[in-house]
Amino acid sequence: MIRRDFIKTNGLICLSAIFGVFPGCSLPYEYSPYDNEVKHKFRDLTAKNLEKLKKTKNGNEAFKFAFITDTHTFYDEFEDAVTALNKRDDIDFVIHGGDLTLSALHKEFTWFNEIIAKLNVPFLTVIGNHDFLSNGERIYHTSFGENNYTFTYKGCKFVMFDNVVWERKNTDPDFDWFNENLKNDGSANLVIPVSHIPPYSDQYDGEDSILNQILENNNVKLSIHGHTHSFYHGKKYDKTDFLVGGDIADNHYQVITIDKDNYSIENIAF
Amino acid sequence: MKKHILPILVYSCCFSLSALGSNLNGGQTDSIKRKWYLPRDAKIQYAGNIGFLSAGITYHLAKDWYRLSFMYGSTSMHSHVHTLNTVAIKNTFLIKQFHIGDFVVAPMAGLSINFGSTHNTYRNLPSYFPNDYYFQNKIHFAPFVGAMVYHPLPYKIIKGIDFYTEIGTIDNYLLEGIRTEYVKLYDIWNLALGISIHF
Repeated sequence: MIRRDFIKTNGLICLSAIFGVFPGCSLPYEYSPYDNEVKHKFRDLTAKNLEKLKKTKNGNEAFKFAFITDTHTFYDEFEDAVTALNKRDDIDFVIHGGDLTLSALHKEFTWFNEIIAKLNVPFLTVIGNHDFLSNGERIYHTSFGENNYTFTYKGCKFVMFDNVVWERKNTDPDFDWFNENLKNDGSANLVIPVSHIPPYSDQYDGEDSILNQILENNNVKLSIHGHTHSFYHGKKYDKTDFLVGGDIADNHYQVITIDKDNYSIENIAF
Repeated sequence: MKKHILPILVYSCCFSLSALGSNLNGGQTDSIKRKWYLPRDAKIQYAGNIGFLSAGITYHLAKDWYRLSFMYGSTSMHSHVHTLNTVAIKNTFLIKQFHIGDFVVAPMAGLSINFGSTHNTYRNLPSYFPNDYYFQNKIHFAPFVGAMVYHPLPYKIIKGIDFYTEIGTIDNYLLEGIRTEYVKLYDIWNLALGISIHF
């Protein structure tokens, strides 16, 4: 009798509580800010974008691509940059120079991906030191793919290199891979490495650093970086030209024109 | 849908337990003075920034209005990361307690202090970093609001059960919600579900 009364009295509340879970299903669950699960549409983005790039039709040998970097949590400026880039029809793809996030938290990667997904052209990324924090490297791996990869577009080989040091427990990046992939077997007009940290940052020893030595030994003409949050273009040392993008809050992006083995750079305000 | 099955099952089981309990002698009261260090309830929680699943104990203080929970949560089973653990000190304030029949319904709000442990989480940076290179990323403050429904049970050991749901966020997300136009304040909240067994 007591049991019957209990069910009768409280049945409605029990049912509403149970069914209350169903509306809850549409609310987002967040297990941890360090969770490395990524929505399906934001997985394997490097491979998906390289596939898109293959389909890019542009008869000219010369081409342009845009460079942005260090977007961190400057989401408003980042959106403005994407809007500005979408207004152009002369860019074949965009490269992001790393530090996609500030603290490499789960939602930071989601917000980054939501914004960059609005680009009309394919985009490629390198990982930055901030993206290594917490579980960031694993989220990056799930969302984008390998940290180190190469692709060739219209005779120009891009070597996308993860050169983070301290956040890798102060161990060396895979310099052997970098050195090997910078070699030009003659099939490329130009080889351009892209990595987050330039050799003149605190993590490296400047001109004598192994990073710079590899660039010079391979006669790299142009090396592209982010990290410093201030724009630089020029020869820091003897041989290699460095293009270092400012952060996106600088309200600038760079357009690089490649014409066979020549390049030129414009720093564009938006 | 798979991930939603667990909370549904947990809720269903607990209501079954609650219904079963009503079949036993009602109205038992425990007159033994409780030792100060014994917790008043044990809880298990699904989601809510402190793990895929978390469990903990709670002390009821300030005439039951303030509840202090110590929780441990793991996300490793969900995220295929070897180490993703969180310890949380959860401060919950019952804003008001409504007695509806045998039930107590209480809206609540609180602040959880979460200590995350995974790869590259630092409270103090290793010596190879320059000073203050990063802000610590191990501790997060996580505000939440929610509600709980409590029902007493006539068992000798388990004296009641409550079900709670919370909507919470963490400090970093709240900051972006305030600081940027892109991140809307409604973007940053997420849901947690839990049950507590009262002793």
